[in-house]
Amino acid sequence: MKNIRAQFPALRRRVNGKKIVYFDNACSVLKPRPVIKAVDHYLSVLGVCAGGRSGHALSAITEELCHEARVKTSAFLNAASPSEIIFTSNTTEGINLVAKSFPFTRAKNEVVVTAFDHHSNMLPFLEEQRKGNIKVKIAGLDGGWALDADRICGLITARTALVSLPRASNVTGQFFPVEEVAREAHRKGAVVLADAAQYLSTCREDVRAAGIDMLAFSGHKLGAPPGIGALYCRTALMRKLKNFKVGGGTVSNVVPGAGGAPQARYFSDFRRFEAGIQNYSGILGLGAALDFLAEAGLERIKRHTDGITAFCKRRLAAMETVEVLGPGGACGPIVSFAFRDKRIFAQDFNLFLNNELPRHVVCVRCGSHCAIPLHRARGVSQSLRLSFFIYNTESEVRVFLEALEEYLRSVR
Amino acid sequence: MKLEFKLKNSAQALKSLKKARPKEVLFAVDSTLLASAEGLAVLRLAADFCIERGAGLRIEGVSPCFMPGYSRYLLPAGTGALACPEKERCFLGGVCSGIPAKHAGIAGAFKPPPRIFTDLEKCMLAILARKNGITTAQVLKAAKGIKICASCSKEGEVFRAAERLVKFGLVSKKYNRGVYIWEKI
Ligand code: SF4
Repeated sequence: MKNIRAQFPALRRRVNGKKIVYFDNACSVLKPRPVIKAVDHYLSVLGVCAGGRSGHALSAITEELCHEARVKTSAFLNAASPSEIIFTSNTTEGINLVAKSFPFTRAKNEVVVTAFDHHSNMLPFLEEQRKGNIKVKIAGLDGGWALDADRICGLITARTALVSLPRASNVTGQFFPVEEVAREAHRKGAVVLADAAQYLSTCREDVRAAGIDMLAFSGHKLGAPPGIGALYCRTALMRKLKNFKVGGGTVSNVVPGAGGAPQARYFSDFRRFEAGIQNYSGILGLGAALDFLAEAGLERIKRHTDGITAFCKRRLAAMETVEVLGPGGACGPIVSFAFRDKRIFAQDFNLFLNNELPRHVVCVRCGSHCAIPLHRARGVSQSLRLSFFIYNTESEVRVFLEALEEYLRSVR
Repeated sequence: MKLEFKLKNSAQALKSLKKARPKEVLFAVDSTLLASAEGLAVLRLAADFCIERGAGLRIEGVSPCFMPGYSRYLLPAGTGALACPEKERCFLGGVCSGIPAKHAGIAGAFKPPPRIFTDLEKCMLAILARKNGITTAQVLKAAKGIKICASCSKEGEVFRAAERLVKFGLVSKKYNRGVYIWEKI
């Protein structure tokens, strides 16, 4: 553990002389040294563009490194080819790309999402619905915390074009039955988009085995810099997507069309979706983050975070004053809870964690975590979320639990 | 609607503004007002009134140093503007087009301000201006009614801004039995 923690320089920093306990990994994980080095390398000795633009030596090196990162991303998801990877700025952009470019038709214009979705997996489709382009159905708006495949599949009809669901909830950490849903969706001629933002830091993905047609994720939750993510899209489906952003790098040619007006000949592969100069430092950082995860071992990370998550949940569940959110069972490294006493305000406790502890500043997430519909549907106004990664320890969780007990004592 | 803001009519101008509730408004500001802290306070109240109501606001004759945080509403200094000798030192220099010609007589009053507030900081200050000495829960409830920034109503970003204001000595926060009390100093 000591060696792992040494890989994350941010863990060494102090705030007002106090140690940081970082439990906001579902938002963004801290950055390991290899990623910092990869970004530094690009900015220090490259700093140029790639991708079929400039033909000079530095550009060729950058292109080679970016290609390597695409190959690693493809292997990370077990995609059939690196050409199935579109670099985006984050999960949100990947899902917006799908919402805006998916070839909906009159006969097939329904999208199924879930109440457990992050706003980023719901709003892009609601926006298309607002414009009158599609109809959105939301699974799990009522009922308890569990959401099984039947409740999602029950909304899939012959009119369903797309089922978009999270691999794991960003509030409760629970996993969703993507494989079962994909089978039913395919049977009805629909495709599946997985929001894997909260899944990949601890779980191995295999898009082909799971029957996932498209998958979006963010690099910053895996140790890469913010501003880089990827959208996996099956080759045949990618060809059918409409243009999203166009511009430099997306065309093979611009030829005179009818009346001499310029007409673009777009690429059919990922290049059609990567318009303009790209986030090369981010792409190289993502490649380095995937290497880091491979070296640390996803199974090992999962074992480690599972232990901390279970410990934290067990201890919180034993406290009468809080309600742990979620159905229990298999989940990612996330624990959210709400205070049962409505007079206790989660934001106050968050401020307490940042200000009142003698030796630590504990960073958690407080609010509705960009999942207001879920909080509203389950009658929770605000929750606190702890999320873990490879560098967190059980003793850090104890620091948090002691702080919580001290806070509750001070309220009484 | 165009409103003239002079020191002697500023309170009256604010009154007419509140009565008229215009959708679009242009404030034309006189040197006598700029030279007075009291007049500037009224001008800010008038501007906040428009911003919170979502009215289109433009302010003519004011350089950013007199209204930090309101740059987006300030019109350029216009023809005949004087170059400000402080521009190099001023962190607002990049968004400032100089001293309007009509204020040449008080050019010495154009000085770099200590700090520009972010929208969230303005939001917190606006909340506490309405009701001071309130709890965290009350701050968030009040935030829903402030148009400067409505994003804080759930996630509590306003408290990150509030903690900066505490550092600047503009706001105090006191912890007592599980609750924080926020106060504009
Ligand atoms: S001090 Fe000078 S440069 Fe700065 S905002 Fe005022 S007029 Fe402009």
